[in-house]
Amino acid sequence: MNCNNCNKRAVLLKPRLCEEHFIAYFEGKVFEEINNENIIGEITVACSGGKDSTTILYLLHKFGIKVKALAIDEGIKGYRNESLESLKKFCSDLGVELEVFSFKNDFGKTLDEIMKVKIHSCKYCGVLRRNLLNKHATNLLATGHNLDDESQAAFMNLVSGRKELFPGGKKEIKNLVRRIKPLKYCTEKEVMTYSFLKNFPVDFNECPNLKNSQREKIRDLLNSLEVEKPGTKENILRRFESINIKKDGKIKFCRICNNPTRREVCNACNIIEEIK
Amino acid sequence: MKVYIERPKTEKNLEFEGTVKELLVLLDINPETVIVANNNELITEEDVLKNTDEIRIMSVISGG
Repeated sequence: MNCNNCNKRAVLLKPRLCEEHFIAYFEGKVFEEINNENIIGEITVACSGGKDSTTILYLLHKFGIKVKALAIDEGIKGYRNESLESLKKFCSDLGVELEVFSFKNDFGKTLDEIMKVKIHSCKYCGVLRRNLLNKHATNLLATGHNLDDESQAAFMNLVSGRKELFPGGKKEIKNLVRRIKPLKYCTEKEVMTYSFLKNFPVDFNECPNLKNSQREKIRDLLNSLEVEKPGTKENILRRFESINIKKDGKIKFCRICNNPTRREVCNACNIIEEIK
Repeated sequence: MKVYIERPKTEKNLEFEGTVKELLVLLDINPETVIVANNNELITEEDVLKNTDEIRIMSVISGG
């Protein structure tokens, strides 16, 4: 039950480390991932008030990188308001600028209003969020995607049978802000452990629209597999990344907004037209 | 033993002595999806619990 590196009590089993050694291990892992990126100038951090984006905002700031927080208010009653309030306080305490943009202001409708006519809210929400982040981020965008998110996304691509995948984030694409995911090799459990030990004001609420989504089913499946065979999530992501590099499909540009897409009109422009 | 579960918000009074792992099995919770604290200190699945402990089980899953 003790740490692998000392005689103190472990706070986590994979890896088996005490508080002090876990914090050093976790920060080292994130620092290494950031170090692999070509970072020049300010980073915009996509923030939700949850543990992942709060952690990455805190760590980039701690590593001496100039950061700005950017949050999207989708307009989900009883969910986003609370997390934005704790994010505002966190940014103020850290001395980091925060900008908040909303579906209502940019697209004319909240997600709740869109949901009245469109059932698959996750699909619409994700596309519109990415559109706003790309529009308002400057230079480089960091997101809080962790290993669980990334392995689930890889698995979902596999399930949907997509042949063409967007190239890896290091490639420059016109009209697309370059993205980095410094937590992509940290499990959700590791991020939560760090967040708890650092006493971050994290919001525990879950999006009310998430229930019964395909992602939720895949999340449960991968968590079961991870217990049976530790390392499953990382194996999926690393294997997927190696395929991804070889199979970068052709990029077109949307005839309405000129953002990169695989079609004549991008998903965001199609949705914006649908919800008018 | 008092057990507070963060998501869905639940409070339970249990007669239980055993490891955290056994408690999670009893509650049908996958250990990959939670972290557990005893009196606000993080503990692992191998730690042994007493009937007088106050346990907090926090979901690690993102809000969405």
